[in-house]
Amino acid sequence: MTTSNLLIRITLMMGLTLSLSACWDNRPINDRMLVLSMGFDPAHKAHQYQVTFQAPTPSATASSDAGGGSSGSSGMEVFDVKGTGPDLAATFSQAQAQVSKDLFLGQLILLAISTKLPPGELASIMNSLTRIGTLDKTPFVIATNQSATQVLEHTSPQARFPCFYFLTLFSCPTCQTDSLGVRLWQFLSREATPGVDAFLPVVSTAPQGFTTDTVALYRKYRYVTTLSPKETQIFGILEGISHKANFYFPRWQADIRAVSGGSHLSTAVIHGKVHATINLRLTATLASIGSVTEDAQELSMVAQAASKRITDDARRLIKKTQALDVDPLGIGRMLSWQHPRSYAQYLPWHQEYPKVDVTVHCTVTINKMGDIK
Amino acid sequence: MGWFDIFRRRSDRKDPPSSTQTVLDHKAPTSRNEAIDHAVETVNSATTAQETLKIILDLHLNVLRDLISETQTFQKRLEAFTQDLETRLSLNTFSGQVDAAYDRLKNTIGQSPDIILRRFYIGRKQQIPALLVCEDGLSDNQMIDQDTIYLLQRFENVQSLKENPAIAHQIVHDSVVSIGHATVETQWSKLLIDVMGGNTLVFIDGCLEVLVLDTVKYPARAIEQPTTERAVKGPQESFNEVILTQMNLIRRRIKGPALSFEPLVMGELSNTSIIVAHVQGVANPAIVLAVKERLASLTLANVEYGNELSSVLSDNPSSLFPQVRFSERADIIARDLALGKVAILVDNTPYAMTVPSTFMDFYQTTDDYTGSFWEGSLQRLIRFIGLFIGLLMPPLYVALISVDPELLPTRLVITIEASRLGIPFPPIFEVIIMWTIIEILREAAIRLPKGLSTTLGTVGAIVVGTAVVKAAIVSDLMIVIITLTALGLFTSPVYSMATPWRVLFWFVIIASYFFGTYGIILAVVGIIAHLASLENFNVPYFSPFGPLNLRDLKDSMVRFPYSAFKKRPAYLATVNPVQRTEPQRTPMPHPPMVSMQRERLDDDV
Amino acid sequence: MSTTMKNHVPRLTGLQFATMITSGYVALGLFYFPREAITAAHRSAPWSILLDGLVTFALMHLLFRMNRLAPHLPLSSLSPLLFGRPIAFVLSLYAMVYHLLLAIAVVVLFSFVLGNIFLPDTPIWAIDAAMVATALYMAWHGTVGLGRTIQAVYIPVALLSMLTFLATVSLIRYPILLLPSSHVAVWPVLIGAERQYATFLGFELMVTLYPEIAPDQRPRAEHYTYLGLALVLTMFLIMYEIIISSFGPALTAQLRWPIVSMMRILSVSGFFIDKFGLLVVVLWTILITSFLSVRLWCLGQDATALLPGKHPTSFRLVLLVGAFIVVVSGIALPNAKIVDLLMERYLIPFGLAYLITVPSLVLLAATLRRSTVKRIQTESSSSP
Repeated sequence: MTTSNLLIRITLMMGLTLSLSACWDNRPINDRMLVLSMGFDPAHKAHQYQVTFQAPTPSATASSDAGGGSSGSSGMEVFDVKGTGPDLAATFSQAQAQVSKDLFLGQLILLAISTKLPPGELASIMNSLTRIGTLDKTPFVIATNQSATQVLEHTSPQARFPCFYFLTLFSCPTCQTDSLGVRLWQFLSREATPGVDAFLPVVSTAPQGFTTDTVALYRKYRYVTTLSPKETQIFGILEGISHKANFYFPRWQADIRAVSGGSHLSTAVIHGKVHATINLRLTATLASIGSVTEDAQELSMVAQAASKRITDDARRLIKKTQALDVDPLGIGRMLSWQHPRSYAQYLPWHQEYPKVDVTVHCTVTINKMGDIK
Repeated sequence: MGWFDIFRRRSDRKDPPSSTQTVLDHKAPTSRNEAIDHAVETVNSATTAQETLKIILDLHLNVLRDLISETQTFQKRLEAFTQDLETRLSLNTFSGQVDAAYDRLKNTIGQSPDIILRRFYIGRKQQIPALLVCEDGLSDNQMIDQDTIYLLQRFENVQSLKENPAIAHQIVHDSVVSIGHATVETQWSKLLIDVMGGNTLVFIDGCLEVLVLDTVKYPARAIEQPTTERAVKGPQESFNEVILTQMNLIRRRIKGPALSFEPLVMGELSNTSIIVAHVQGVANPAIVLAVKERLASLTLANVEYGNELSSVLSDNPSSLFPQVRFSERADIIARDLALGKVAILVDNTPYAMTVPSTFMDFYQTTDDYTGSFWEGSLQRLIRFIGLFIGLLMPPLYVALISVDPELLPTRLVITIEASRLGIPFPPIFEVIIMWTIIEILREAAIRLPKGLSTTLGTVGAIVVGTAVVKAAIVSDLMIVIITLTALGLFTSPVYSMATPWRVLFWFVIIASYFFGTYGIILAVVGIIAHLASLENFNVPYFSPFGPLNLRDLKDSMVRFPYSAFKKRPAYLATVNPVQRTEPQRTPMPHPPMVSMQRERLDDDV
Repeated sequence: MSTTMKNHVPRLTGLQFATMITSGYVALGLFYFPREAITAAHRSAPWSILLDGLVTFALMHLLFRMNRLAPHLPLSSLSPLLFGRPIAFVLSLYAMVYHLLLAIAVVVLFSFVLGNIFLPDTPIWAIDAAMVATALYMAWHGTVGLGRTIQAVYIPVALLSMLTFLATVSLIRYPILLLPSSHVAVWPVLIGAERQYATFLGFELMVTLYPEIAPDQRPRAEHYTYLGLALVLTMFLIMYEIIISSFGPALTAQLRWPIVSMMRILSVSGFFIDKFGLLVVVLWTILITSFLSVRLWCLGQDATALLPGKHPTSFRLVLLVGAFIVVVSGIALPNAKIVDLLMERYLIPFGLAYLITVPSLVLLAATLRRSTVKRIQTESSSSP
């Protein structure tokens, strides 16, 4: 090795050592503020909104060493920084100004949206979020009729951070009555696709945590309505995402639970009118019955009654959505897929949707009856 | 180099008076008397000078005494040389005169105390002078005393020797000495090396040929258990330093005539024996030839370690990756030979080398083949997982913690964040600190005596395991990672294969520091590109993966059952690829049973 | 390495050839896939993709026929004999510039993908330079080393990607979208096919690579290349199906890099790395560096054919210069939109033009100048 060669190598090594101090994307996680949740609320000024960035406090992360169990009463587990402005970037800079570390969105789990947020603002938020490179489109989106910040700040004894509560809740689709979890990409996909409208699970705070049993319907980022829990159950069945729906029939003092099954939507255009047919093939578990030991006839009567109940409720729900002119079931989308040319004649779909003739066929089969004969 | 040149060199070293040298240079080949006259003259003048100086100054007496004895020795040597020169017209050939040979030897190699010169007479009644030369300690005393001198001294038929001096050596060889291996030599240059190797020379007066008796027997290490390549099952023999033992161990495993050992001598000083071994009819002759040519092209003064030859045996000697496999296990070398490789044995190096070796060879051990293929495959997989973990865990740690935390599950990120609370260093420094500690511990544990290294291990474990974490220098997760790394990198069964990974580790770490997982991938691609570009004896180094070869893949990441190895590895391009033919399985007929057996087997109740 | 270049014995195996060819065309269109086809042809996009595959098959067939004229000669040596020096020079130059452009396009494309989603604070030049340096090192050791490297790294990544795609099947929500639209409009399908053709651009490197195949491996090389095309086409169709049935056509058309978005929503719970899809996207670095390294290799090979003296030094010099140009141009292009435009306006038309014109011209010239071709062929058989 010549001297010049040696010198070059030494310089290289020194340069390398110097550059090891910190550079580019190399920022250890302790120097990043892991934003786990974001909340979006309307601001007092028009065309502005407030964004809450929520991250765990260092002490809360340290207590995680102890394991999953957390009392929930230890006070500050998460802290929020807030920013208000007409766009996401502005709120982001405001928030960044309040923290010592880099706001990092790569671990975002939850987006809470207030239903009071105007559609223009929500659209702008979604557009900005999609463009953030480090943010993938997997966070869960929830809506709330309360303020989003309030929901985020509410603690539950079941999980250390609010976002973990929802992560656990939505990660197991079969654990809920209806698997209402909506990921960002699913929301965006519905918003982008013509002929279908988006829905979001509605979360409200409860003394022991949160209640999630209703959905909010959106039409092009505009909040339309929130379905009642009963309606949500039917909606879940119609969407094929129901897992633990239950119905009570006083006539037989019968209770069926775990009503779930596939939902098949098809469309047709007959004499210039759009017809939609929803076929529901459901199975259910008999939870209890007045006669203690059921017979076959009783059972089939309960099943028929259940089918009728669901069909009626479904019709009612669809009528309601038609009245509100919001198509969360995607009848228009199905029409566009099955009959693209016909669909093109019915644009804009929102004028056509209320006129659609929807038929619901439902068969409920009780296939599990427990250990009592 | 001719004998004359050697002689000249020797005279240079002995520092005789310059006049002598000139005498020798100009006159020695021409006239004997003149040379002797000159020598005598020199001695006389030196003696005079000594006496003069003794009077003047006492201080240099010893020096002068040395000088004089040197000169006297030199004179005698010169006389012996000239005698050889006179009779055979060559300085390098024995003249047939025992006295001259004695003088010559006594005044050259005989000066050193380990050379024994023994003059004696052959025959009891009639006597012929003879001279026996051997190296003390390298030759077997019993063979010299009882099987040579004793028999020669009691030889009855000396008359026949006297009558036929030209074939005296033949008579002695045929009917006197009882030593198994005896040859004949006339050249001094070879005789001297023979003696140094432990042979015994017998000079018979009047006979121009010198008997070289193979009495080689020197203290050697026993055949011990392999220490660097241990195996649970399988043979437990490793090579020792003696090349003959190495050959024996291989020969015992391949007894056929096809196993060929071709001797070579390398090293101008050391005259080290080297054996190029291969199996004829299996190994590719082109590779064998290339090995021999490459070895022959190398000139070395001294061959101390076999590794000195590995530079000519590898096409890319500057590569980090070893391309010559060293093994102390006789069974591995024999197996490699049978597969069609070439083995190189070097005297005094207890590790044999095999070429051409591929990357995969460094991950194959005896245990892979002594157990079932399930066992073998599992071990192989574990070894590669170890390599994977060892090379990539710390870089992945750096990458995932510092550059791409979005790849980790949120809960894990929070756990790690918690474990790193209060640690002032970035992850890369944690890795650097821990890895340096591990390397120091490792080096110290190797160099220390065995008893101490256990203590060191304990101390290290305590220091590394608890103190460092308590001092909040590194996180406890780092301890887990670095321990796995240290273990993982040493799962390579061949020690020399661990070194490249220990170096490349840093390369990957730095890449991951700058670019995260992207950097790791680039670095790994770079490493694979290097591996795939290596070739040795036209055999691709990264063989079953580099040029994808389905036949050889059967013995790579997993080991297939033996029945799958119908052919030898494709990359070796062997002359005869078939190494196994499986019999057709026919169902075994039920053996006729005697009634007793039938009763015992009657278990259908 | 030095021996392979000095003696120049073609030693590439069929599989190595096919892997190199395949790696030479998948990378460029991968990230946009299937946006262009869907934007133009909507739910008829599978027909566009299939059409692209068929066109590629036909062109490959044509190129192989051209190669078989003088299997031992690269185009750069054959064309002077057929067309005379000036035209051959122009052809060579065209090919070189084209290789360079493809290399630049892919570098810019991938560095923007990485810079956007993965390394937001790392300067683009650093991402570019690291990638090009790796590709340069891959090509550095000559044909055989490159072939082996690509074989060793490309096939596992391709297999892993295939398995990942199959894992994404669970994301399919609307099976009805799996079927292509029954109403096929010809013009949109054609437009879609043209715009999506970036996916298949780049296989013209077989012109340069063919003479490097060991003579006995040539038929196998051709078969494997077709097989590779079939696999690629199948994978692209599967990818299309998964993307369209989870995102729907409307969202797919809006996404910049649909396939990356697709991979990013794929997560594996209960593993150290839960965004497994994103990891696979990063692993695609290997596809990109392979693409880049074969491009650089081609450039080096074509350029050394023009330069006097054919030895490793000039080859490596050209590689270095090529790599430098790629990095510098990569930095000069400001954003992904520009690359989009460049690709649509220039790269695809120019590439298609080359792919169609050159083999047709050569084959035409060969039929006209039978005697010359015969002479070359006899020369090749006498001195293989």
